[in-house]
Amino acid sequence: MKICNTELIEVENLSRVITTESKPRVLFEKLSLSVNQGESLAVTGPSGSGKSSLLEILSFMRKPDSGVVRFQGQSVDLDDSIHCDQLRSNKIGIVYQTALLIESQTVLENVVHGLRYTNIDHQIWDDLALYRLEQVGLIDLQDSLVVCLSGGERQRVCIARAIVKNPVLLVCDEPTSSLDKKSAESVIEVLQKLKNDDDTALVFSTHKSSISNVCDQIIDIASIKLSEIRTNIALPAGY
Amino acid sequence: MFKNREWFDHIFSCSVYPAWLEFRTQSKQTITMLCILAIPLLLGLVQYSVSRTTSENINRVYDRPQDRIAIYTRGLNGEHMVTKSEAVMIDDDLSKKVNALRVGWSRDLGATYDHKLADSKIQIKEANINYLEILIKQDETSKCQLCLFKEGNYFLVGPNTDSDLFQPGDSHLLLDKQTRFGGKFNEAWRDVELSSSIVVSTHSIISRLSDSPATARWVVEFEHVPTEKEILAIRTIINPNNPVSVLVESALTENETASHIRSLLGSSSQLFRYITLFIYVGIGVISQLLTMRKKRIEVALFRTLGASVKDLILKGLAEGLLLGLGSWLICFSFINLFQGYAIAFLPHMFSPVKLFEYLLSLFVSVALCCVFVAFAILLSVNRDPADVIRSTGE
Repeated sequence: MKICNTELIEVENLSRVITTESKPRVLFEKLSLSVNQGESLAVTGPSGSGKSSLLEILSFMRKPDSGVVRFQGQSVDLDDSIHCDQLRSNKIGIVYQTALLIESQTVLENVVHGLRYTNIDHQIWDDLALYRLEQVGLIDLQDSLVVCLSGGERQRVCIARAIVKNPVLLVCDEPTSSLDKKSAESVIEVLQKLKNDDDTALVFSTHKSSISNVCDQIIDIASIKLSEIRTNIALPAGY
Repeated sequence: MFKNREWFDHIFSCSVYPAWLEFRTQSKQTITMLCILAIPLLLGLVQYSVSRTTSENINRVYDRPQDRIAIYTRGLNGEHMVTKSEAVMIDDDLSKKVNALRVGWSRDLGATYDHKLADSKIQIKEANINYLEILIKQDETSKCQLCLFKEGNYFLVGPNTDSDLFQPGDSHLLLDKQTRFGGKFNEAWRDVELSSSIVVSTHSIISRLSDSPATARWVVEFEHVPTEKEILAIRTIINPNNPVSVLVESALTENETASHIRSLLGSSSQLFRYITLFIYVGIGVISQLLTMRKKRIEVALFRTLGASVKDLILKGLAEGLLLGLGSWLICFSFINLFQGYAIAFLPHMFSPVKLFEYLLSLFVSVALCCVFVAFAILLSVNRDPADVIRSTGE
């Protein structure tokens, strides 16, 4: 196991309140946590507890109601959309529960989209995409249309697209929840390999113990409401 | 220079290429959309072709006697029918537009008016009291092209097509031969018989004088529908002292001048143009609305991958460019495939589409498609990508 002490992302006093049926509902309040480079964090909790909202904030897709987000030691202004776009394009990979792909395009073309807004020279895009496809075990399907793939394969394409730019942080929002057991296992295997081989920090939201058990930190978002919690590193048994 | 290259690379890889990829891979949807967008373009160009042909046909009064403008005036001298002040001597301004209007006549015995028509010299000469010669000749030995004869109170017209058969003054021969003439001359002769008036005709001018001693009447035939200015000029020529007393009526519609008809034609053409544009905009907007959900998801996806709003708008513009260009190409191919047949078999309806019209339609097509797609992207960008992505999972 790697020991990484470089703080990658840190949030302080994060709060998020949503309005449902004209009533405000607190998803989380005064939440603080940090993830170091090469570490993994699992965010657990029941549906509607705010897991996805937290991940959206960590991937700079949504602004919190209050709190500070620091990335690589620097405070990030979430109103600065250009800076957030740059961070997402170069440093953060995102995988969603639903495999969002462009159906009419091939596996390789979809993966290359992950490099499109980066600073990486476009002449090596295909090579990088093929390397990642090999990592996720889809090299043979590079020219297949994604519409022909199974659920597990589609999710692996999404992972390949998210990691093709070699991000420092990979945010996965319930990446296995819509998959069967076998497909879920193959996705977890890919993520584990990525964590072990690269120095990528992983943040998951999940309610599956199979994922949370392989993470360095676990945070149950339902239990931290209205309380200030600093996450503790909880190494899973046998890891 | 290096920066420009980088900028170009960025635009190409982030906007143009993804747009092309999307355009290429969604083949069925793309082809359907292109074909639908090509329909109003096609309608517009066909309408241009038809309206121009109609306009040309209306202007070609030569073939359309119903479009003649009749000009009436009250004669000043009943005995002579046509007095000097009533003589039609068409001035240079008119003749620039209507060549044959150079032709004219005068009651002045022996008076000669020389004009040029193309390479031929036109000489109008009142040779004697009985006839007026209108000569189109290269030299002095050339024969009469058209002769205006006076028989009593009537003027008779000689042919220009078979002019080599006649000599000026061969009135009896002319009358005999007149019965053989077809087309306009035949009609003219019949008109002489029926209304006791005379018709002077060249290819472009018909003047008719009634035999009423107090009234003179001309029917002037133009090669195009005359403008108000031209009509005023004719009035002035007929009655220089009081042009307003010269009444003008169109044979097309009672109390309407041909210029009015032309303005009506222009209005209907313009209305059709607006309708075509409206159809195009309607189809463009509907096609974007139908693909809005897909577009919204794609925009959200690209935003999660780090695309900026500028990148996405540029991608939209590139997509619009391809869409506009593609639909125009379909329209262009279709027109070029069929316009040869249309012009060959329906020459009175269609005329070839001009380069300017092609370029205009290309510009309109590309500009409107770019606006539609860019606007749809702008609407999609305004939606929170996180919300859009969540909604896809539900």
